[in-house]
Amino acid sequence: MILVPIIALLLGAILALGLKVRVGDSMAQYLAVACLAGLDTVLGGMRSAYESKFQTDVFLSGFFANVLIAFFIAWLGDQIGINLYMVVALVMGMRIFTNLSLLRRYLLVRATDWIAKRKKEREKQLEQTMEGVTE
Amino acid sequence: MTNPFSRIHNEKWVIPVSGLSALLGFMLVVSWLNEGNRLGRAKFLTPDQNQRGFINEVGFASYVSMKEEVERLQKRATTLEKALSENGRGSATLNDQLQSAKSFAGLTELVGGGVKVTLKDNAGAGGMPGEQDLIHDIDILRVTNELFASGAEAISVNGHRLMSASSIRCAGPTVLIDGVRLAPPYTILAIGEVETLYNGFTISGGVMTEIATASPTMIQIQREKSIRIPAYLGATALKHGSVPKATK
Repeated sequence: MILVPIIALLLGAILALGLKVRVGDSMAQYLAVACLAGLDTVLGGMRSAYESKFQTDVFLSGFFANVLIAFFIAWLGDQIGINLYMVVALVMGMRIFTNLSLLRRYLLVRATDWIAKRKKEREKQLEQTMEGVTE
Repeated sequence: MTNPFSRIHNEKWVIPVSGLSALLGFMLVVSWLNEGNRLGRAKFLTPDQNQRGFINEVGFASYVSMKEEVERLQKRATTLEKALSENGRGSATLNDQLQSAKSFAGLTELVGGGVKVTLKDNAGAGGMPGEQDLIHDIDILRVTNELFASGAEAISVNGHRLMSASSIRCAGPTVLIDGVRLAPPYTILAIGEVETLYNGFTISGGVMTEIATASPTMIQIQREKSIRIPAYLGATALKHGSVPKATK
């Protein structure tokens, strides 16, 4: 399931490459900052899914709000002569790390659980066959 | 058969997350730096970002130009050989070669697209003009150097064509270029790829930003569709050196 968003990400990238989209140079600069916010929200969405508290409306509004706010802060920074995009990069970077580490833990727990379960099942099967043999 | 993800019973997240992942991939590609937009975005990047990005590019570009040069030379060798064998076409080929050598040496006029850089002293400074309010020989030298570095094929300063042995130095309140006395404002014309010249020159941390820190009125650059750069008109006779016989 976790592969589906990754494949979708690649599909989106291929679409943009295929369409040869070009935006203005300063626009591209702000968009790069907005990408960080987008990445954070997508990872946050996956994390909340694994915590089983995913809500579609919260996720969708969060994505667009974060992207727009990041875009706006970067733009504002250039207007008032402060590198405010650094603020976005710092905050979003930290959140991306948090989200990724939590996601990794959930996946790890899931994987170890699965392995333990498989082991138990196999032992059970073995027991059953052994019983069959002895009887 | 179960899989590690089977515990997610509620999978309503997959579609929205995937949809926005696709959008994110799209955004990433659009904002990705590539050959097409790097020059345009150079002014938004920090100097070290620019350097990191440009190092490989320059290496590759010079490799390509060297390759083209080799191809061109090989072709020329072929035409020369052919002309020698046919004899009659020899003089035309020699003339072509002479013309290209002359235009490279700056002995012919050159027309083409390029940029115009204007340097002038900072007249707006109140009181006594300081050292940083004047345009010096070193400023002109660095500007022309930067333009050559951005791929300028011909440069003139106040109508004086620069060639391979040109010198730029100061003499009191004026600047001497090949011994010709020039006074401000200095108009520097350069022929080359217009966008490359313009963006290469306005790159942050370059000569332009340095001179403009004293006052932005001191240095100005504009793109020109068509400019005409005169031929070098000074003496060209060589007195001391001579071409060795083997290469003649």
